[in-house]
Amino acid sequence: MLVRVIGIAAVVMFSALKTNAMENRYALLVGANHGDSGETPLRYALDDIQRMGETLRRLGGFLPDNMVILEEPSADRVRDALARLNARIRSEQSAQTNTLLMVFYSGHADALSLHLKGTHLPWDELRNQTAGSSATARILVVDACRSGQATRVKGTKLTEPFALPALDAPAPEGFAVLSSTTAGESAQESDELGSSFFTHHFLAALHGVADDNEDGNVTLAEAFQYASDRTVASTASTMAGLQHPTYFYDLKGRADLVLSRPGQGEKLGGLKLSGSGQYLIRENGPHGALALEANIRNEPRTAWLKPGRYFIQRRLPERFFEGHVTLKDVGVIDLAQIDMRTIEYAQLARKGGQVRKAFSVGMWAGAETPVLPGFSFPWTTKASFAWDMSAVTLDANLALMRSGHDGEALDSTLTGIAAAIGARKVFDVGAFALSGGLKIGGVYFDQRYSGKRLAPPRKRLAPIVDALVRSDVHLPWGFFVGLESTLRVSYLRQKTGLFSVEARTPVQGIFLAGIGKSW
Amino acid sequence: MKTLNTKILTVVGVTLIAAACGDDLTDKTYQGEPRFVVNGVVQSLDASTATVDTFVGVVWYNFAKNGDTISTQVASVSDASFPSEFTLALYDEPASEDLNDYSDAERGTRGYVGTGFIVAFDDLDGDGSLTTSGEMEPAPGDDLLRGMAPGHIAIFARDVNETLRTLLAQENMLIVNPEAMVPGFNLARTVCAEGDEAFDMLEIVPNESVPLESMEYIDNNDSLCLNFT
Repeated sequence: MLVRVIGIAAVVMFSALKTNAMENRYALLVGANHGDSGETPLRYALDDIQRMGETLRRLGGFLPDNMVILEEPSADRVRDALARLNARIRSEQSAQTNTLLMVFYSGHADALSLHLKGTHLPWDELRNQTAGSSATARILVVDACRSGQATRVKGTKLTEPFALPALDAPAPEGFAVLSSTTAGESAQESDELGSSFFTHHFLAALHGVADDNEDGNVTLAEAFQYASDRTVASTASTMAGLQHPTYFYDLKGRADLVLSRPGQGEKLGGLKLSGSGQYLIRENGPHGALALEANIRNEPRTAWLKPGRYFIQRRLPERFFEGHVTLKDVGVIDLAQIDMRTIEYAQLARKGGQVRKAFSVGMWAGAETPVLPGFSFPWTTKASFAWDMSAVTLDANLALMRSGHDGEALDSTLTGIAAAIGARKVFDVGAFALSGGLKIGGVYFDQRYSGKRLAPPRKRLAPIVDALVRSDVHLPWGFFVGLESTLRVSYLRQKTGLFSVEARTPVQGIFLAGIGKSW
Repeated sequence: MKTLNTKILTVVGVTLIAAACGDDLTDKTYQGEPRFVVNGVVQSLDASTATVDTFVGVVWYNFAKNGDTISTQVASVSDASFPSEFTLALYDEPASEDLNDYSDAERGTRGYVGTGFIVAFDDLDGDGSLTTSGEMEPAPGDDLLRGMAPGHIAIFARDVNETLRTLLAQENMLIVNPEAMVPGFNLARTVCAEGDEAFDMLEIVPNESVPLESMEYIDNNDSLCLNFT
């Protein structure tokens, strides 16, 4: 608790770091997919440091010449690179120049050291070498298993609100460590994001979505807070479990450290994310690379991206929206002004999107051809349940039909209760959903008679196979109306004479109209 | 894969068929469950005079009332060749007016017993039942009676009780073995009376095959015992 208070106090006391001509920023970016021989190789560590490098260059004021990117290095090579960078900082530093050193590591680690292609670099050594740099401010960002060892503190959430930085406030001095996990946790990668969770969200933060006070600057605190919250939320449902980023600050000053200035960097287009929800922004189209994933709660945020065409998905609990937008190198496009298509979760599930649930219920009514000769056309009503998945839609139905006939000797009524399960393939065509499929099940028949003759009631269970085609029209708020035609084959035994019985497979047509709701 | 799919389809098919169980359903032609079935053999019939349906039926004959009342329950029969088996299903009880009333307050009896001749006829008027004036010679409008069971009678008993059985046994009024009579339909065989003054009688028998002969055969055969009414 004491450590947490100290950390919070340090954050509140941050002073602004003005990335102006008097500030030099240096970065050492280290990525290692391969750790020790027994460790499963990572997939995205190298991609993560490349993205980090591009983001720092575009948005963070880091000159390319001031960034060192090491892919799959040994421990000695990291030591050497950091020593050389520190030496350069010392040589280029002057009393009038503020300097920032950022060391970013993505790879394997354990409680004692980083694992670098079979070699080990102790945490303490990395911390000391970073903290001991002559740069005015030193930041160590570690996205690795058990990287909480680097922070040596257990704080996982920053206090708020932050003090607004004064433009003329002195730059922060000191040392800060951000880690993607607590000491005992595993850092996780996501195939869907194509990145580790923490780095992905940290980069999104630097692109502007963490700019809580909308001053055009993303501070260290804002970036960490956003990345931390999103990492916890994103890993809540993973098999490896929750991942809690941690921090350690020992910075002096009255304003926060500005990590990126999204609206002021290299020519970028602004995309104002208006309205709450989860945003997935992909390059070019629905299957393009994921450029940004952001979660907006209440206040709008502006993400700054390189010019180009983007495919936007905005997810809400009950539905999602999608559309395209083209960003230019100047200006901000407000998504609220873009005409985005509304898509229900059932459609999203059918498109292969990940949704927690996508199901629908419906009520149907109509008529069917009689299953027994001489009977009237039965009316029928049906309750349906459907579970939409990417490959098929699973159906379960419960239906009630009733028919009858008036005879010279006897009148008869036939009541059927049908239960069936099956699968449909659904094709979304604009506001329509066309589908076809098969179901199997059974009908419980109850046949009763009225008249003076001896005719006890008859009860029978008949198996059925249904082939159906269906057309739905999507309505607002998840409602839909539909038409369904079914060809049903039953197997039953029918009394055809005084002592004769035949096995029959009558074929029926069933025509239904219905209304339902999707979730 | 093809073999696997075939196996899966076979399992599904067998499962579905195995799931089929219960009573046999009926369509509009269903008449109900027969209350009694007479099985027999048509040995011969009088010649037909028209191309019409030939039926076997039970003609309920209320001999105890003034003016005979007749009603018929029928089944189709093929007369293409003889002997021809027939099955006559009786779905309805005979109407009350077709039954002989054995109720007698003084004797303490209460019951109704009907007697039905098993006949074959051509349904000339197409009404599905035997139309007859009841005269010995056919009258215009009558259906053509082509045959009859010379040795069997259908009996319907309502309200069978011990008092009625005792009455019938003591006085030999109709049935020689009334203790075998059950409520509802019974099949009886004719029993020839001994002596010219006595009536022939009926013996309740288990369901057995009923021979049906032409009217010509019956008219020319003096050994038949049909004088029980």
